[in-house]
Amino acid sequence: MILALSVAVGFVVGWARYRGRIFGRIAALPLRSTWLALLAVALQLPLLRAPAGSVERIRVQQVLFLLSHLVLLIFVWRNRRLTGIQILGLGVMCNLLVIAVNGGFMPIAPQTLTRINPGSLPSQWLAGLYYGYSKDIILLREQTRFEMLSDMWVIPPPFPWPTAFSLGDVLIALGIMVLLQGSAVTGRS
Amino acid sequence: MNKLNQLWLRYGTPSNLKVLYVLLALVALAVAGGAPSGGSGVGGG
Repeated sequence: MILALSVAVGFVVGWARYRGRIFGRIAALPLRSTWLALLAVALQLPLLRAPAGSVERIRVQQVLFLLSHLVLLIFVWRNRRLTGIQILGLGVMCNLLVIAVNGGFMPIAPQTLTRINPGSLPSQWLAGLYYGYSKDIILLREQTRFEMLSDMWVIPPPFPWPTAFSLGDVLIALGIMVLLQGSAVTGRS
Repeated sequence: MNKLNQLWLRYGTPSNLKVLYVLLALVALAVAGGAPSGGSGVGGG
């Protein structure tokens, strides 16, 4: 939800700058193989629909999730000339790094979960379990590698969608907003 | 239904559909590349 919101914010900013011309600018974005982005989401849907519980139950979903990152990286490579994609790609790689070194899921600490689930206690969030309907595994802070890149940043209530996010997510949102200001190409492919 | 058809004829131009497709792809990128997590067990995206 929160990252999908970045598309809306980027669109609004673009509209403020370019008014009606924003549609032409978006249509003119020289994106290649956009179907890869849709394929990546499709590969992640089984995981995003899985309820909380043991990670052993979602091994197939996890494999598809990791495979989706390969698809994403191909998309980023195909569109690497675009500045927004470069920023977004950096975000994807930050997320992929912390996911790869923490058992194939994005780690999130019990303390962070209590901040986005008001009324809950850290002891309710058992380390090692999959959080549910997400890409997250609950890990203690001392168990987390590259904690600075994990879902440790929080938008708490009263924000209507309390969310924990990572540095990679910030870069992805920024990259999308840059893209939506119109194409900026660096160098030659 | 007739109104929907009129809206489609008016706004369903190839250019507008391309804009919609690009926006959809960007949302897909955001969802697929990101890993935020929501509260109340609602997951992320």
